[in-house]
Amino acid sequence: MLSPFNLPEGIVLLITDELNSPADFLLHRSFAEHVKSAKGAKNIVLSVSDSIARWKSIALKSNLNLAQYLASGSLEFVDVSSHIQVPTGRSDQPNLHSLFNIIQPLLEKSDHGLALVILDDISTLEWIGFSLLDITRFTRALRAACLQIGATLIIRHHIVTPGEPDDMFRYLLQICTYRLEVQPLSSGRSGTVSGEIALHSGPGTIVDGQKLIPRSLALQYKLTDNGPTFFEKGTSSGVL
Amino acid sequence: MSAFLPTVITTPRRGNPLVVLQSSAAQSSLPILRQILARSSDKSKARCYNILFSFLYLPSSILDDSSSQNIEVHDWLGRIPGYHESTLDTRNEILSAVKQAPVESINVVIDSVDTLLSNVGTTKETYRLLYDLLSIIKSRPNPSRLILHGTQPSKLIPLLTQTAFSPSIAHVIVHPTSLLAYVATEYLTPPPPASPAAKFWSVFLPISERGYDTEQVTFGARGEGSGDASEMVVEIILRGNDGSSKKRTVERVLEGWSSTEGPCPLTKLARLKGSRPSAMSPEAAPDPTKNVSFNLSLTSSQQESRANVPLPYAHEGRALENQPTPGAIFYDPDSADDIDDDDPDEDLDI
Repeated sequence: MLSPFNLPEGIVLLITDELNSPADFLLHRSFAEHVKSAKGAKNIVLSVSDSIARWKSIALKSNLNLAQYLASGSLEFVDVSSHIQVPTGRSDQPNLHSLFNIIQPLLEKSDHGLALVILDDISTLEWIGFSLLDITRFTRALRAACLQIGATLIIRHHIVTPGEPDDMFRYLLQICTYRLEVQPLSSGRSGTVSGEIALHSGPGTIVDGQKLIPRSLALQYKLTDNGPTFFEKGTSSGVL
Repeated sequence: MSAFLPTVITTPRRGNPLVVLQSSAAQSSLPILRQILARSSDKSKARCYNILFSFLYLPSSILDDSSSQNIEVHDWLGRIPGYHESTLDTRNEILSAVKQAPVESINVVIDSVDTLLSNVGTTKETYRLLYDLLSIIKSRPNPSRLILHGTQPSKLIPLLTQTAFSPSIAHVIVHPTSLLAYVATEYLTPPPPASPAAKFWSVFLPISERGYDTEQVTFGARGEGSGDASEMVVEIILRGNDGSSKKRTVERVLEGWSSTEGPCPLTKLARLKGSRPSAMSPEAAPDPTKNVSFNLSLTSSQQESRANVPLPYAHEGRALENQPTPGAIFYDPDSADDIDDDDPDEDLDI
């Protein structure tokens, strides 16, 4: 899953990015590869801030017609903001329970091991007012449901304070199997390199054959109209 | 001094009923927990029965072989308040599972006390549950242990490590190797024996307890972005009965753990070798007289001739017979000098 990282299926993948290095391209790449790889694969996109129109326009650049997948049922696009109410702080019920009730039947319809769930993004849920407890319980429930059917869960989290983990990040670190860290270049903006990506394992993960990428050997990428290109440090066409 | 970590990893002993494993965002102690459970399931060594309550981590990430007969796994990852079909009675289910355990020695493991707190709801109820659980374990006829894992910052860990909860404890705190390297380079204080123990702990403890520096070293601009599961620094606080005698002690030590060797001295950790001072035996300085194209050595006859050359010093190394007179300046003024012995500043009134 997700070249060139070649991650296994059925994992919880945490993708962190920063303001100067958004990781949209990784989400769209993983979706495009999954939708093309397995017949009968089920894809569920839980989008908190982006609309279906944006996903459609980006998918067209990979020659993917989302309308076709939506019609066939292999893609379910859930606009999270239309299914939740900003919490007022007075309710005893978990405020994201209604969202989970929409997702669970979609997961139950999937075949074992063929589903991909993308939660984009978890930070916005916190920013619009949901408590850390609400979000962590919702994420635990979503993760448990995905584990039950062998689905892959991808969660995007925005890092606002690089180098200083927030509580949400500390929690997500504990539940992830692997973490892709997308960072801007420390030397500033560049025309030939858009950013760097490191791959770390989660705390409980037994790494068996998976090649991890520490920050010191991070893979660099450049965003083009056709998608991202990946290269080792110092080997981009602008350098050589 | 014998290592303490192997003692913690082996099967339960009388007088040490509680083990608290403390992880952080920068470094996880789950590999050590995995080794404890693997060790207690090993058929060639003294085995004991294990009960694992999984609230946050997959049982497969903690157990090498979950199908082993002496491991009872309660996979409660999906038991989340508000999202579970039935009402959860976590307290009674845990206590009854432990009470029904076989008579032999047991390890009761809770993989995340912080997630247990999130499920139970309040710190008071969770503390009471764990206290009652520890009481049941202490009352068992065969030595048994309660092993709790938590991740700082945690509301429960500071309470569980107090003597009020249990007078005897093995508190295992893991740190990334980069933290020790940071203290050695920025504070010029490598770990003992390279620096005095009192000085090292006075520098290391505030830094490690603060947590901020550990996260900066790992996730900051110069960090690698994650801890290392293959090597870690282990700080062990042992409080309670020494195994061999009835003496109550409190000890704090720093040891190492690697995935290939298990518990090991800090000196065996590859990532710390660069930050330690140079070896005790000084390296031989390079000899400049070697590898030159001409001969710099002397034969014995040449050395004799050299010794017989008189040295051009007046005293030739012998002590002077007469002490020289102290230095003095003798000046003869000529006609152009105007020597006036009067003090020109005499009329100043300062």
